[in-house]
Order: sequence, then C-alpha cells, then structure tokens
Amino acid sequence: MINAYLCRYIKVFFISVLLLLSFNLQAKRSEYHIAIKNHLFEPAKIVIPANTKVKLIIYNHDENVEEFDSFDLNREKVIFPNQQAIIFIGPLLVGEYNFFGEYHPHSARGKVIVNNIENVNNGGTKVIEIDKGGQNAN
Amino acid sequence: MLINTVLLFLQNALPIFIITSLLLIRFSSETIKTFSVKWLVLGLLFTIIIAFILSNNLENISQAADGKGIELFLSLGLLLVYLFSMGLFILNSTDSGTGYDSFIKKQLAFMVFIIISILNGAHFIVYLTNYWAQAQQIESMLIGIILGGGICLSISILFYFLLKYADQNIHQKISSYFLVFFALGQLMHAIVLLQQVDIFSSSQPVWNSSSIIAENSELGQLLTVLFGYESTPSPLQLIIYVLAFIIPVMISHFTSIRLFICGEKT
Repeated sequence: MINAYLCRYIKVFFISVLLLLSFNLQAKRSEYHIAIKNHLFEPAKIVIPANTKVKLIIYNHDENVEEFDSFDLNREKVIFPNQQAIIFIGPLLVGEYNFFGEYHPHSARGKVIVNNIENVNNGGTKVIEIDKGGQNAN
Repeated sequence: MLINTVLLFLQNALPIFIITSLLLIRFSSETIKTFSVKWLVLGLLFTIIIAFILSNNLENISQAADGKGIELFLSLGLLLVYLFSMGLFILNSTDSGTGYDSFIKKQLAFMVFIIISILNGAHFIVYLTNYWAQAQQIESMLIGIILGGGICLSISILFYFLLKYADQNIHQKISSYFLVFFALGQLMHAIVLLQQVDIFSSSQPVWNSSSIIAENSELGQLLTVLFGYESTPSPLQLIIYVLAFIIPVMISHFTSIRLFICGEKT
C-alpha cells in the first residue's frame, strides 16, 4: 500500500514538472557579450533595460576555469577555458547588480546596471550603452 | 586564496556533511541496522571515482544542449535528491515495520548521499585541479581545505546532537521535517539553474531580504543549505516551495491515517 502511495506521489510530481516546462516559451532575447581576459571581465559594466529578460554570453579567453557568480542576480555558472557560457538574467528592477569570478574574486569583478534606457531598434538588434563610450555590445 | 578556498569548501561540502547528519540520525533513531562498514567503504570509493569522472567530463557536458548541459544535468540530479528524500520522508512517516520498507529506505538514503556527494564533489574537484595546475599558493589551499573541513565537521556534529535532542524531547519527527527542508533547498537550486538557462520563466522577486540576511553571509549560506533560503525568491520558486512541501506532507499524513485505520500500523 505504501508503494502505491509513493508511485502516486512520483506521478503527480513528474506531471507538475512537465506542466511547468510547458509554460515558458522560448522567446528571442537581447544579447549582451562579456569576455574574461586575464581574470578580468570586459566590459566590467553592462547596462540593460529594466523589466526585461536578457541573454548574457560570457567568453572565457583565459587558460583557467572561471565561475561567473552573482548573489544579486542569483546566478552561478562554471566557464571552461576558451569556451563560452550562456546565462539569462532579469527581468530586473532599476539598480546595480554585482557579479564576480568565484575563482578570482579580487580581480574578476563587474556589475550589471539596470536603467530605464531607451532601446534603439537597429535592424533587429538592440544597441546598449556600456561604460567605455557606448559601444555596441552585440 | 585561503578565504576563497574555505568559502568554496563550505559551499560544496556543507550539504554533504548536513545530509550525512540527517541520514545518520534517521537510521540511529530507528531499529533499522545501519549500513555495514564494507558497504560504506565501497560506497565512498564509488562516490569519489564517479565525482572524478564527472569533473573530467563537466566541460563536455557544459557544451551539450546549446550550452545548457550542466544546468540540465545538475537540476536532474537535484530533482532526484528531492524525490528520493521525499520517498524517505513518506516511508519514515508510514513505516509498517516490514523488512522490505527498511530495504527501500536504505537504498533511498544511499542514493541521496551519493548524488549530493558526486554533484558537490565534482564542482570542488574542478576548483582544486584548476589551482593545482596553476601551482599557486598550494599551501594556502591545503590550509583552506583543512579549515573548511573542520568547520563543516563541527557544524554537522552540532546539528546531529541538536536534532537528536529535539527528536527525543520535543517531537520525534523534527529530523524528518529537516530532511524535507533540506530537499526543498536542493529543489530550489534546481529551479534557479533552470531559470538561468530560460527553461523556467523568471520574474521579479516577491521580496528582497538581503538587507536582513544576505545570501553570501555565513548565516545565509547555512540557511540556504538547511532550508533553501533565497533572499530574492521569484513567485515560481515560492509556489513550488510551498507545493513541494505540502504534497509529500499530506501524502504521508493521509497514508499514515489510512494505514492506522486498516490496522497495518499501530
């Protein structure tokens, strides 16, 4: 009898997970690129629009493993040498959200600045401001 | 380097120490014979070997499924930890005292321990091999591991005796409920990983309690391991947390009543 209840519980759980998976349709997100070079994030600051989910693509150009970590963003991902990692962040409220490299926390530091910035629609890609003179992050 | 190693060790090893305490207390408080030494040694060796194999293959896994490989793999492992822990909780609550139930409970406990140890161990091995390859400050790293190990051991021993006291003097099911909360913490981690790769939707947090207890503080880390504490939980996380707590508790409660009515439990 106990096993029957256990099986019922497992069935309910798996059906719930499948339902949850079906809720989130994969939508096209704005992309923001960050590079890790010499245990530093480049750019160290990125500006993203408020209340929008965006895609961060992080390239690790170093010969060592690094881990993108952020308590503010609630994100954590290991990035292997000469590889890239994809992380989705947001929607976020206006403010500053720090991130760091867990394996080199003193040098690899950066922040995501969430602003009510105007997104310029430029041929399907979004132009964003970054700290070094408003380069196009795409 | 020293502090970083201690923090990383705490982050990765604390769940292993806490689950060991929780499982030991469940088996020691019952009349079930615990695992034999032979099984424990074999299990430990198996866990270490698999953790090493996994750490060597994490790079390949990370590139699978459009870069979502690690998140999918880890969340599956954490989901299994939750399911097995809940199975253990339900069986603990509705134990009819048969040998078959004890056998299932041992297998579930063994699986929970192995999965937690492999997932956390592989992550820490990646960090260790990375620093070992750089040949930098190995001494600091070793001291960090010893300090981190000492802290984890102290917390787990304290936790074990506190729970044993609570089980004997307050309510016999307190450690069972701690197992539920620990499993919920693992489930919350799985949800965050799936939100990270946009499989589950993420939205603005329901509240922000980081000014009261920051997740990166020592207390925050401990609460994260024990209860799945999140300073900025999303509505989805909150709903799943509540449902994932209520459903197994209700099942165990109603099964227990039914077994009592049927005369299978006294």
